[in-house]
Amino acid sequence: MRIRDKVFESDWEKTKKTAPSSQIMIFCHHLFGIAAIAVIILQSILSLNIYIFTTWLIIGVINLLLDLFRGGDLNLKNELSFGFFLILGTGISLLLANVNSMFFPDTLGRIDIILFQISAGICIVVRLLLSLFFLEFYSQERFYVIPVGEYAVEQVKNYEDNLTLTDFERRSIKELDVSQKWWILIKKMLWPLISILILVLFAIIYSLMIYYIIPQNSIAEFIIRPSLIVVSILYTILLIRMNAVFPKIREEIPILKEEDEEIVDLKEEIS
Amino acid sequence: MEVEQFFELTKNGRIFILLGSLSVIIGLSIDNYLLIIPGLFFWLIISSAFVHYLTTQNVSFEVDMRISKEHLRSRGLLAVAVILTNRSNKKLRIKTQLHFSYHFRSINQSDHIYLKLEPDQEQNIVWTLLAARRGNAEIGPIEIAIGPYQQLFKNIRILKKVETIKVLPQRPRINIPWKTKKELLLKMVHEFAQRVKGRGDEFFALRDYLPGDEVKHIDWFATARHDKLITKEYEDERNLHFLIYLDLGSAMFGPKFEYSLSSAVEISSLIRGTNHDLAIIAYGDNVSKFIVPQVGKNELRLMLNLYDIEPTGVESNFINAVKFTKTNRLNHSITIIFSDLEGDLKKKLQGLHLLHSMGSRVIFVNFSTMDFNILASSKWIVGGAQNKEYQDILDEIFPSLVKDEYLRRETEVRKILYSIGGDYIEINGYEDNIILSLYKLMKKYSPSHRLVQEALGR
Repeated sequence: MRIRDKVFESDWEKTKKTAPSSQIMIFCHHLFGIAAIAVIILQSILSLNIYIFTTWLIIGVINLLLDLFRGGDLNLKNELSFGFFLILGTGISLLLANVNSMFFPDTLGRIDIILFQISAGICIVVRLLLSLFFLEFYSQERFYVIPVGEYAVEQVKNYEDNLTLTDFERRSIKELDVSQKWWILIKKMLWPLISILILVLFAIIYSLMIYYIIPQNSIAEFIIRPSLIVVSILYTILLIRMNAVFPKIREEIPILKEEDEEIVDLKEEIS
Repeated sequence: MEVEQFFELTKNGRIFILLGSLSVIIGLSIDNYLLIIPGLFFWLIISSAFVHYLTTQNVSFEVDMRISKEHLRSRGLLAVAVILTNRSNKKLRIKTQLHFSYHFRSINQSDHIYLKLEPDQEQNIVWTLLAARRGNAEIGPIEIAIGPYQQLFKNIRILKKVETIKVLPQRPRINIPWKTKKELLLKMVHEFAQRVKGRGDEFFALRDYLPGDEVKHIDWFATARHDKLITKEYEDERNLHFLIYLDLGSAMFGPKFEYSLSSAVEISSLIRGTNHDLAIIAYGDNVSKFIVPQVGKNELRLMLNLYDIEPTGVESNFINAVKFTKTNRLNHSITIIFSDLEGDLKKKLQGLHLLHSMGSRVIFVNFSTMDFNILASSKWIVGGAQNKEYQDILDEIFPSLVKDEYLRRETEVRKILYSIGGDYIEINGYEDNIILSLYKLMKKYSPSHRLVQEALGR
């Protein structure tokens, strides 16, 4: 450390803004991850198939360890890797064992299976939501400095006192609190939720209609599910097309990070 | 002011669409709700972003940014005001982010703020920034993000206004009283000024009257005493020509360069108020800047010009700089050289000889690498060097061989300098000040000191 940096650090303290609930959020995030894995492993135990059980056990342990080693560093990449492992596990269990034994084991009823899967899915969704929320409001907080030294404190105080009669007067601003931020997230999801629900409802009505007109299981297999898949493909295409319509940002705003600054520093000094 | 509107899916957003759709389709085809539910959730978020975009498409803002100063010193404070006005009839929750270059740090408050804006409400956000580094800093643009999930979808308004601010180096730590500075100048004039007999106001000596001398200059008391015509002789003190050579070469970098630059500014601020001349030659491989200060408003421009100088990074060539002064006939000046002993020493010595042949008085100011380099070297920055002893680090970075070489160079330069009647000053770190060092040097030339020296010599 150079002397001027040392002088700087004795006067100013680098600080990172963290909300008091951020640690709880990370804890809940990991907890939901563990819950999802536990539910999946429980179901694989009940399926009484050794291949499925070992597959899910290994993948569960890998996911768990990755989560624990990452600690408080939540980001979307980690979430996507978590999802990727789940898809991988599904694929492997499909390959290694009979399809029916994973999803319709003889030892469990259909409702039980759906309950298991839905509860695991909800756990994953909550986990994802938590990490999104975390990214939105906690991890993006950047560093700022707080005056610590006597001179610095005085300097800032005097400066801000002198600003009182100018346009630059610092007035207290009401920042949004955590609950309000949560409310935005949930409110923004309300309309899309309704739209998707309507879509699903139409699909169900359509399939039920077909089911009652021709009450055969094979028809349900060959018509209801394919029609749902077609709807989902259409919806995907719609989303991609919508994205193509919107205007794009041409110039990226260069944001200098802490590391970049160090590089600039070094370049300047070791020319 | 006008703001630009943008909406874009980030890379993560695109992955969200693909992964969501994939898991829904796979989940449906193999009847697995474990995949269907997260997939639907992915869709939900994406659709909510699109719906949000459509509803906030016509939201308009008025944004303006103002800054309190146009230039300031390092470690100075700056206020930046951002005035936001909501011109739509919607209640908005936004994130306002102020971008600024790495020269600044935000004080007591993050660079972004989450706000609620009622319709037609005006909000004045003020950031207090601390200037941490010297250079041409930039403040702006301002980014206003509307709505959640900005990691996935950027729904933003940008005010592309960028203000450039010049951050000057820190104010020097030592405050030298003006009395001392004046005394130093007087001493320098006394020592270095060339005197021209005949004209001027200042009395120089008495001598015998010669035909052609003015009658009004005859000293009648002396004539009476000596019984012959004796006349007074006067001398004219000419202005001093100061010439500052500032090394921009590879040997001068980082804090060492900064300090030499601020020393040059300090000397120029001392001289510019007087009737002495000053020129600054900043040289690297060739002369890269030749600054002649002017009187009046342009003084400030000179100072700002000086701070624009950046180290070149190539090996400096002192002879080229001296040749430049020779072609411009800047002879008989007091040259102060801000440099180092690193690099090609031969060129430096030749340059000193050339300066001497031009009739200049040379003062060589060595910004000692031994002390400054430690502060700048990568080892000192990167390693956990705070806990080490200073002497250990000195030994680690400068092996004894290097030290010996450095000392050898120093004696060589001193030898040449003393042979041509020059002087040598060493700046060993931030504790040394150029003005005080010059003052110390001038004391050496004081008459009493000189008498003592002469007596000792006998």
